[in-house]
Amino acid sequence: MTRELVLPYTLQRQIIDQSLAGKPEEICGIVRGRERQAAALVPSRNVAEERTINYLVEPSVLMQQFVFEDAGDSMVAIYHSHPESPAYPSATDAWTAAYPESVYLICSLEALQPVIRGFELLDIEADFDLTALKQQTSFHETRPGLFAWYRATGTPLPDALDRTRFPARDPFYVVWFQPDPAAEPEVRVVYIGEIRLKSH
Amino acid sequence: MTTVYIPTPLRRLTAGASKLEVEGSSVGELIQAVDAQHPGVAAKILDADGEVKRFINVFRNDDEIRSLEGLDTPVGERDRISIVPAMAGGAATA
Ligand SMILES: [Zn+2]
Repeated sequence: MTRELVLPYTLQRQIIDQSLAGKPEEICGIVRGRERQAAALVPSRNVAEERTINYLVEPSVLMQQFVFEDAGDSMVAIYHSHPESPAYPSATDAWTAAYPESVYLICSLEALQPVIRGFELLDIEADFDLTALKQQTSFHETRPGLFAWYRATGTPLPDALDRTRFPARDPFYVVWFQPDPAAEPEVRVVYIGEIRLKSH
Repeated sequence: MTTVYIPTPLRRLTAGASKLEVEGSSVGELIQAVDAQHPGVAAKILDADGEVKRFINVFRNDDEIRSLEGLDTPVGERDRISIVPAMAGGAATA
């Protein structure tokens, strides 16, 4: 079943306006709402160091999630912009995803018309041999020490991801952080599911 | 008793509870008290050295504890402790 989020047109417009105003840097914020219905934005400053390729929501803004909840609402979504890349979660987005119950909204300014899409980023519990996967796939270093391989829907599953043990859900990223070759890598497998956005 | 706010990603460890009332005189003691009730919570907040993980922020009321006394930050009955995983990410790089 496709999950949905109602994101009224006025809120979509606010995200786009904030994205355009913040260019070439990424912008970010959180969305208050209730039961899959967005009601208001709380824009944040982007407090990342390299803001043209990264975002980091101000912790004081994120703390508002508890204020929402005390009033019976919740943090239904988190938004950020991709000034020069598609409206799709990057390997870095997958690596840092921390709120599986919130919708990740991404506003892309890559094309002439801004585009907003919504996703859920969910951990897949998986047990596999990373060394074998590295040998069988072409992965890339997306940030210093952060490596990723993306499995698109319908593409063959490498032998390293034994089908009997590996959940069939796709697409997903396998991302691992290994700041130095001697260190034991930290690994995450993150499923990317599209959330349909409706304006009412 | 002090109220500790638990973020959604940790609630599968707290039987769904969004806040817990626990006893302790410092932030560190409160985290251990939560962990005693709901084993596994401390491991999500603290690293192997017992420090707060880099991507976790812990607030006493409106102040992040790194700007106070860290895990030794004292707490009273009326304080609110909030555990807030960082929200970060970025774009694909060519
Ligand atoms: Zn991103």
